[in-house]
Amino acid sequence: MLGTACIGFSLFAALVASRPVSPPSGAGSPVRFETHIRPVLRVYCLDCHGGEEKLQGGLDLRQVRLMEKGGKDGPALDKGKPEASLLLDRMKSGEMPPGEKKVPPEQIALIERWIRDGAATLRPEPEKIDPGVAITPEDRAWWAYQPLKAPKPPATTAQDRARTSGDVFLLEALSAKNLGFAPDADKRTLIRRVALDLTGLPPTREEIAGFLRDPSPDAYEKLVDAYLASPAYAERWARHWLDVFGYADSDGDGTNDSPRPYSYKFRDYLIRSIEKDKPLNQLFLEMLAGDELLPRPLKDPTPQQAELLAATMLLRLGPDATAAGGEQVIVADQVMADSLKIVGSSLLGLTVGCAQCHDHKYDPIPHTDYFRLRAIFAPAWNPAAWKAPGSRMVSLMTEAQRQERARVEGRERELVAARDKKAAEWIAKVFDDEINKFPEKERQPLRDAFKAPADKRTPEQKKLVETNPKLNISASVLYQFNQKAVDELKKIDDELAAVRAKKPVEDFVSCLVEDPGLKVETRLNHRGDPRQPKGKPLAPSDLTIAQPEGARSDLPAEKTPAGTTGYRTAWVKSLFNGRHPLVGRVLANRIWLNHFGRGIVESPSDFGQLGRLPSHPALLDHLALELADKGWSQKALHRLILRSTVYRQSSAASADALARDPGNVTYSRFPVHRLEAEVIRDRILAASGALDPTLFGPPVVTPEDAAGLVNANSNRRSIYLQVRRSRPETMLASFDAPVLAPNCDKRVSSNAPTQALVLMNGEFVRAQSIQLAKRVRAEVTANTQALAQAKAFTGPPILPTPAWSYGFARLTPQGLTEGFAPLAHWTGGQWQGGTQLPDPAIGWVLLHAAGGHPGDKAHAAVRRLTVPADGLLELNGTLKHGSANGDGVRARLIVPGGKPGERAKAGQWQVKNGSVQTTARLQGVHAGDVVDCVVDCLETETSDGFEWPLTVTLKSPEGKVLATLNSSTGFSGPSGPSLVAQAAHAIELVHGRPPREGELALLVDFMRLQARQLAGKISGATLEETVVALLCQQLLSTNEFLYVD
Amino acid sequence: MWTDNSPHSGRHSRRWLLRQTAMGFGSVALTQLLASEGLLAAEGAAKPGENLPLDLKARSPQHAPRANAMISLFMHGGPSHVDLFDPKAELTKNSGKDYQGDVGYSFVNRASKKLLGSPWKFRKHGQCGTEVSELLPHTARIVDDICVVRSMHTGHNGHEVSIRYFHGGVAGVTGRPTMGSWIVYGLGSESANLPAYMVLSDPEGHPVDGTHNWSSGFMPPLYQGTVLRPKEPRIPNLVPQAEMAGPVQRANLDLLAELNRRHAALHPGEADLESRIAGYELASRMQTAAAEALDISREPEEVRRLYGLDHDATREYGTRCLIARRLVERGVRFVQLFLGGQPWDNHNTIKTGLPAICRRTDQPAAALVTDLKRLGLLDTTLVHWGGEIGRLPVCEGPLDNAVGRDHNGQGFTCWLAGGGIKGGMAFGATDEVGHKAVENVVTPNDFHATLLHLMGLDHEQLQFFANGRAMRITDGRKARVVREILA
Repeated sequence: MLGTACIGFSLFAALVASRPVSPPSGAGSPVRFETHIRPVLRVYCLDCHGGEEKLQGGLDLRQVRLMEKGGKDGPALDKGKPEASLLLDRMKSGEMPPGEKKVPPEQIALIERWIRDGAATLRPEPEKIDPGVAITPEDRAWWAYQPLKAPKPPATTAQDRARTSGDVFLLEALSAKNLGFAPDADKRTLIRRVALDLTGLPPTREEIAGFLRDPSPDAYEKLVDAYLASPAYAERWARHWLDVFGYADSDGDGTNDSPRPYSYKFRDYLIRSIEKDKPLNQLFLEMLAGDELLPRPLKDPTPQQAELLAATMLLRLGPDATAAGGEQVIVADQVMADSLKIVGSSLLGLTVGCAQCHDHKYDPIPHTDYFRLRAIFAPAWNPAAWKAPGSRMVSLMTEAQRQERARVEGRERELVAARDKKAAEWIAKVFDDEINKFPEKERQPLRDAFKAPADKRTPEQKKLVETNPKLNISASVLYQFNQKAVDELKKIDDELAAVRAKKPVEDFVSCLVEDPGLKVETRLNHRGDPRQPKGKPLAPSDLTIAQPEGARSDLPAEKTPAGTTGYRTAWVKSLFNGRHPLVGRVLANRIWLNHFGRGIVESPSDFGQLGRLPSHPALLDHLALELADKGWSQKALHRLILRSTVYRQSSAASADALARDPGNVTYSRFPVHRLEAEVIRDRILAASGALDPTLFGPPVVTPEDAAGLVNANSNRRSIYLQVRRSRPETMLASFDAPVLAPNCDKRVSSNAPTQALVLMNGEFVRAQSIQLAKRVRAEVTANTQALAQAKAFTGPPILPTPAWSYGFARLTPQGLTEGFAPLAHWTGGQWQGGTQLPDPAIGWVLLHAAGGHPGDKAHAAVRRLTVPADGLLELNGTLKHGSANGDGVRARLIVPGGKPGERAKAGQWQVKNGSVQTTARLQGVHAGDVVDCVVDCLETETSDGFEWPLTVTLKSPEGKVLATLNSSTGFSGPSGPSLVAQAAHAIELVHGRPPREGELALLVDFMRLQARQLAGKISGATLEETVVALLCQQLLSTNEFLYVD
Repeated sequence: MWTDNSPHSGRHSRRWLLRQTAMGFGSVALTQLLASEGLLAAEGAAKPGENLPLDLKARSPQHAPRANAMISLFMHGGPSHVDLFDPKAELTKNSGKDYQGDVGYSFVNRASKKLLGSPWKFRKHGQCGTEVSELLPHTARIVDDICVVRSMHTGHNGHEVSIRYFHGGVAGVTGRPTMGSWIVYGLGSESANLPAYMVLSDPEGHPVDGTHNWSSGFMPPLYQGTVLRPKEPRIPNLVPQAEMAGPVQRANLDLLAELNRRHAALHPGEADLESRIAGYELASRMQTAAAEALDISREPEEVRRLYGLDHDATREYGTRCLIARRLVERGVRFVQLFLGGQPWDNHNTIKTGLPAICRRTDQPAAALVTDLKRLGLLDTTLVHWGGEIGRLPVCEGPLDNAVGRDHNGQGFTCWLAGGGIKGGMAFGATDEVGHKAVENVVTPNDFHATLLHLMGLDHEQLQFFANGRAMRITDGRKARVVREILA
């Protein structure tokens, strides 16, 4: 915390090092004061010689005229005579500037050349100049401060590809490289791109089918409009703004990181506003000055007024440690500085914070400008009467609701009294009833004993009370004596509950409210230190550089319904007057950035000298003007951008494009970019079908486990997960969800092994993969295309043929089986005769992984093993029966007899309410032999549930294990829909397209391999689901899924 | 890769093997290889205007290296050099008197010109006789192995400005690759199983500037630091479910790789897609390798005691130092340890604050050098201890028990050891009170040039082309290899 106060100052010196002043282009080109010399002096000299009122040595270096005049050591400059110029002498000797940082030799040489050539200026210098380091015409010449003018569309050769005016500007740069746009992306790619971009969710199968089917020329425009109208669009684009605004559900006050219970109302306000396409000027007016629009006192807020209050949370979104102690003036100053940074990031695109301690050394933001800007907000923040986060609540309860609450509470009291009275009556009555059961002469003493107050009872009475607990009748035990009493009391209780449920709950909104009539003076803080205000109070105003030269003005007086200063209202109105050079460009650039994954200006919050230059300046101006012309409608700008060819082109680079534009600077193809953390999570939930689309409301708490890992356990969209500044959700954080200290200018897209681990082993992804596998299996039967593909597909079976089958049979008098028939119904966990138990035809027969139940004497339960290879079979198990009722069960092993077609008994065991070991060794079994494990009910099937898990090993004559065929892990249900079809359907659910050539074969091979590897390790009943889930998990981890193309 | 059970011999043999394979030299002796500097340079350098291959394959250095790994114990916040490594008789003598020279303050509001003599005693140690404060008794014992640089200088007092200078090479600017990124870009990885650049974060949280401290800036994310959590599980999601491990996971990854290759073929030239394919492979090998590397339970008792794992004050930092050693032993190229909450930033109550952070870090830091030496790894492993700034010789606030010291980017101390650094020496000097570096000034860029040099890289030649410009760690500013401190 301490360190940050001075960063602005130190940063400037750093800039000098990183961006040396550019020398004139040629050795012969003229050197001029304004363009070449002053920038050097500004960095090294003007702090002491012109920047502050007190001039060191009386020397002012801001003008050539003043240098000639000189200071107490005489003139600093002698035109044409470098050797006689003190300025140069002091620099060369290293005497000036004092301290470590010296003027680099090449810059001294430049100054020398300039003096020798006559110390020329570009313009005559005025006789009078204002105090401080003024903003020069050279400063003003920076691209970002130029007034917005409609750029002239260039004449290009490839106009046929241009769909919008914006395309024309892009084609100009492309044709300069002898390139053009890539061909249009195919419709599937396009709908996926648009859906993910606008809604942060993949298109549904129906949306894809509808779009593919729609041949109309405006099918694409209709698609865009449909997405723009969806609430998911508003959630997605609100999320972009929440980054810039530094939204969190916690204060960021050190290790506590206290939750902010009402932040979410701002988030919801933003979503609602974006859904309605509230014009950006109105949106920012409400967020920055919503309270000024509300008449005072703030009583009985209507829902609309409550929305305006929630909007003002913008100025309260940054980290705020003022509740955690520390020196209030410093901590509060930090909060205000952060808030101003957020405002600067989102609207001005300048690092205004760098002028907090000093004049901005690179951009023309004087120290005073910073505090003039702060003065706009000062009456609202009111640092002298600072409100910590807990004291910013405004109740949303209306007078009518308060009255209603009072009325309900009155009724509550009545009911409680009535209930108590009724209970007392019943207690008395029950007491009487009970006491009357005693002999006549005992009654009165008992009555007296129980009626006497506990501390007034005589020893005899105490004893009576202790020995007759039965007479201790209270409301809570009435039910044991009299049902009528209970019924009557419950009726009152029910009514009470109903009344309470209707009681209005007091809700709050956390907000920023300026008090009417308040005057707060803002002075410049010396070196940014809030304990050292200096100079005269500063009038609130926008940055000087954002206003026309010579037209710097204080904000106009603005009458507000609230009776407040109106500074903020006036400022926002001036920002959106259509002439502000920064706001339109900054907002248009941000919207472009969010569509393409990169901005026209790649430093979206720094349009100054330290930021990056626009790749397509004319395009940016064009979009900024369009935004204002269309009434600051975000949706209008979306439509313009999405309609354009640059957006609709394919992302695949041609060989030419790769050779001439490897970095895709000219947009010779759509930029492939990774999805943001929230979109990845939401897309997984959408694919699995688990996504809970509930809108709005308090954040879903993200719990922290014992190891400090924070994992969301909710299926809501990520925007609704609680954001604790210091406890980021593990999966979101690993995919670069922003660290909000205070806000996030631009997402990064990293690629760390931890991301791979999240996808490979993370609980969330695994659970969603299983969910998706279930969905695939349930829905595949409706995917006729997938089923057809599966039919056409040939190859060995994917899952191993089950060794076991399940049925029932009659017993012959010899105890052998006849008439084996399979059980027809699978419940998901067991086999039985039909949906009902007992089945009308075969009764109670059922089989599950561990055992089952036989039917009546004519219906034994049969678990049948088909031997897969020749060898020796060992069967070991324990037969258990767990009931003393009935007559127990009998188990038999029926095996092939000596002759073909003959059957024989290989073992027989009987058990009732106990267990018995069953062991058998079958020599010389052959592939295809059938071994029946039969359980019958003896005489009666009452209570005949049994367990009989068998360990079955097939060995070669030499004793080598050929196969393990245990009855429990080998247990399985019916084989599901074709796995080939399931794979095809999984691709469709995950990627929104049918399988590509050769893809299904790859997936089938994968499933076959995994089934082989997992067989025997997990129960056969879940083998199929596991294999499909693994497949789904890999699909969810592909680049195709994680990137938009 | 390496199958030797003894990890230290493993690192040497594996490194040896890699070097041979990388240069296609069969079994030519190392010395001969290193002598052929011209060839090395030709192999290591990229063609003009082109980047080195954007992968993690081990690459031959640009010249004969002295070190192949580095551990940086970053002591951000500003350790008070005049109380730790830079004794000033003048300062002690004039404690309480006003200083006559210029002072560059950060906190003008609490500024004072009153000199504050160190409350702690210094004594000569080791054969070399380097003076060390009584606050660092363990470091005092390794002075013969370390080079104390007393003339560090950033010229900026602010934390962020100087931290960014140290990591990214340009003061105050983020968005640049950090030194670890440059080293890994230049040399690739020696470990096929672990990230080449690892960061051990502190239980108290991230340092100032958070993830910028290990950012790969304009380089691909392949070169950014991988952060280990400060407590178990240090790497979340490292272990698959039992039945999914082994061949089942292998089959998963094979399918994924094939699907990704087919997808990448449709998107030629997209480096990010390629590096994500590699990311899965690394993650898969990391599962076993990292679990083994992070498991300190089988370290012998005397090693655990050496790092102070038997004491509450040193256990946490000691564990991380020990893990750092285990990581470089297993081929990790660059390991950096951070602290949370700026414990060296003693603006006030330095008399209690400074001893506390010294107690926490002194023994583990010294143990790291001792242990590396014991294992024969110090020769090829650079160890760095130091912060981004130091502290002023004058008081911050009134001279009472709550007195502190303000930031000082003009002169401060760091120490280096191993990997071709000359041990047992002190280098450079600050002025008579310890404010400004006046003799043999070393800037962060000189620091980069020197350490890169020891790792076989030339800071001028190691270039990365981005945004149409050739980028260097020093951004083209003057920097020199400080040859005086090389062994």
